[in-house]
Amino acid sequence: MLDYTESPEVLDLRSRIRHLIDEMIPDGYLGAFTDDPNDLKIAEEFCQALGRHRLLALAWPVDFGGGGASSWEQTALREEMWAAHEPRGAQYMGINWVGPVIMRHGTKEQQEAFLPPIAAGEVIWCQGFSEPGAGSDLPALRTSARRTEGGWHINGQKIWTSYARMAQWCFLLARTGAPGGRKDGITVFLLDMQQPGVEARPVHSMLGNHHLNEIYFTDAFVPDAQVLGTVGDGWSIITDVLAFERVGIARYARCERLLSEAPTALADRWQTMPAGLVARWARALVRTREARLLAYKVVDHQNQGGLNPADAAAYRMAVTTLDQEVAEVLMDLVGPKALDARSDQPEFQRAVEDHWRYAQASTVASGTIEMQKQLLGKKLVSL
Amino acid sequence: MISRLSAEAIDLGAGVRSVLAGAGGVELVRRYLVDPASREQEIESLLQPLGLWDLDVTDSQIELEAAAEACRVGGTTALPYPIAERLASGSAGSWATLVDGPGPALIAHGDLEGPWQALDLAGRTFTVTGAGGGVVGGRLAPFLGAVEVSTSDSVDDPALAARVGTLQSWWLLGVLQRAVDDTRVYLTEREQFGRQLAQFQALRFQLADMSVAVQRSEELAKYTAWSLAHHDPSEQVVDAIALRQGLIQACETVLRGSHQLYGAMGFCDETDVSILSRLSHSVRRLPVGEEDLATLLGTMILDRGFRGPFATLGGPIEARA
Repeated sequence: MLDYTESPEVLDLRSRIRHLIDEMIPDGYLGAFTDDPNDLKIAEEFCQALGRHRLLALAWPVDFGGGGASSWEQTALREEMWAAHEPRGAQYMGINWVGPVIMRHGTKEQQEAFLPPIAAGEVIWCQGFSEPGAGSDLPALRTSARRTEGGWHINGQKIWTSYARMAQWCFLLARTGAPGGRKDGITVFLLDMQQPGVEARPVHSMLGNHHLNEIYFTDAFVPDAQVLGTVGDGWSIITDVLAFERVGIARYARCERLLSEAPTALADRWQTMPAGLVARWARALVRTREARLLAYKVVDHQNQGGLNPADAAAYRMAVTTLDQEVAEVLMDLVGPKALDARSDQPEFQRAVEDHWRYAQASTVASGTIEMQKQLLGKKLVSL
Repeated sequence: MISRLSAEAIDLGAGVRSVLAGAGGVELVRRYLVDPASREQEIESLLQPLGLWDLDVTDSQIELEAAAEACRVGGTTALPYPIAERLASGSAGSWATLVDGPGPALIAHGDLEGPWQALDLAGRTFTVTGAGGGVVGGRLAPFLGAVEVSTSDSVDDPALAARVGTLQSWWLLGVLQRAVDDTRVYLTEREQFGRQLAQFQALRFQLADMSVAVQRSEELAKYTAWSLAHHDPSEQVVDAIALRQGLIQACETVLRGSHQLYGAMGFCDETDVSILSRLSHSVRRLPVGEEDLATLLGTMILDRGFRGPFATLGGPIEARA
């Protein structure tokens, strides 16, 4: 029987998180990667506070220092964080999938070395996947790993790497097999970013600071002990990473928050808002509810052990296009003033400008919408 | 949270599917296009043994889910019968339909005598006269009747308006699901340029968009059915209108997509997609079109709120989390 009631545990979790956000995150906070370096510091302190309250690694199994939370608590956490402009900054990635993948594929020594700092909010990871010639076609990657005394030398270039200039560690894919080997001969390395052979440079973009970078590796060294899984069999680990990313960011949560706040935040302007724009706003709220419910369907099926990757692709298609549709509606609701991003401008107006910029990447980041359509379309016609 | 229907609903849906398939499925519609008056008795008798007319949707969530699922399955054959309108009123026994206020009105299945009662989307009740005067609709509404709607002394019944709207939306969901399903099959059967249409990525992408539109509507339909069993009538009305808006928007993606991917075949009544598309209009266009519906929804949300983890608007709906 249908049931959309949130459990007391989930409601309590939401309340604890909101309390902590009220306490630590200043009004008007737009995430860690603005032009104000203090925002990054706020995110670091917030993560450490979450770590102290055992809320950072909430989803991790208790054996690994986590909170052993249910999938519904994890869903609520994702929603609360994204709605509040992701005050975990860069650390959500370590929590969401770097840690869990090390739990599944790492040695005991790797788990002991890498998991506690992630759970405590003390370390930032970046993801060394995309290259100039390998985006959606990830198996085309060319960054090479060559055997050397006690480990491997890495040479090549990664691009679009978020947080590369602040990360201490990189979850890196490099080719240990023959060039052009596609999915064969790829290995996962846990690479220390603080070494001479690694150079991270910013790529200036509309998204804001730290979102896009490139990394050059020149004989960067990784010891054997920091190879994750089996040499040459990294693709099976990548498949796992993608599984952790299936539900991904709860983009609908910020959409709902901003749409709900709009009539109050734009009080004067709302009095003369054209009826057609109010109708678009109402439609956007309906689309937002639909995307949230699609996410819940994926989680419910996952709990039943019956996750269909096509369902996850459908959800991703719905939520990423929602993000852009809502961004357009919000920009029109705010009007021309949305382009004025001075720090003394109203909080809502700045949040809408920020949301529009970031929403542009939603159908590109973490697997383009075309890849999702490809997956779903093929599944639909394979009768 | 659970986004799966009760076993009872699924069982009843399977029963309805089996009975309708045995009677010819969409072929039934083709027969009734020629002789609309014969459908009332025949369809009523067809579904009677399943206990459908004994369901009381006001009684429990299980019965409401069962009624919704029955309407959805009916939609998969574009069943030309006021199944939603009849099930919505529960034990009251009337056929409840939605109108836009007093005056002359067009209602789906108004060519049948009823017993009709009418409500507007907010739940104000009206009296219906003049039903049973024959079909007035054209190819887009072959089971449409003209009636006269007048004000009534009866008290408002927003919960009933929400149930009619929701069950009609479930019927429309069935129409859309069937359209996607048929289009999917067609892409694997039809060959052009020496290849299955399914081999063309552009067509698969359009099919994927259609499928997502239907999946979004399905989840919204399930939530709304649950909401009707758990929230105040004033909130039920908002949710039912939101569902209707969602379904109508999905219609554009899905049925337009089906017509395009089927090519000229999709306009021919020998394909089920043509029938499904034609019969969808009496829910899509009545009692008001999408633009009016979205405008009304905006006003209602400003007044009453729209439940969700981050909702901040509205008075009567308790905040949420």
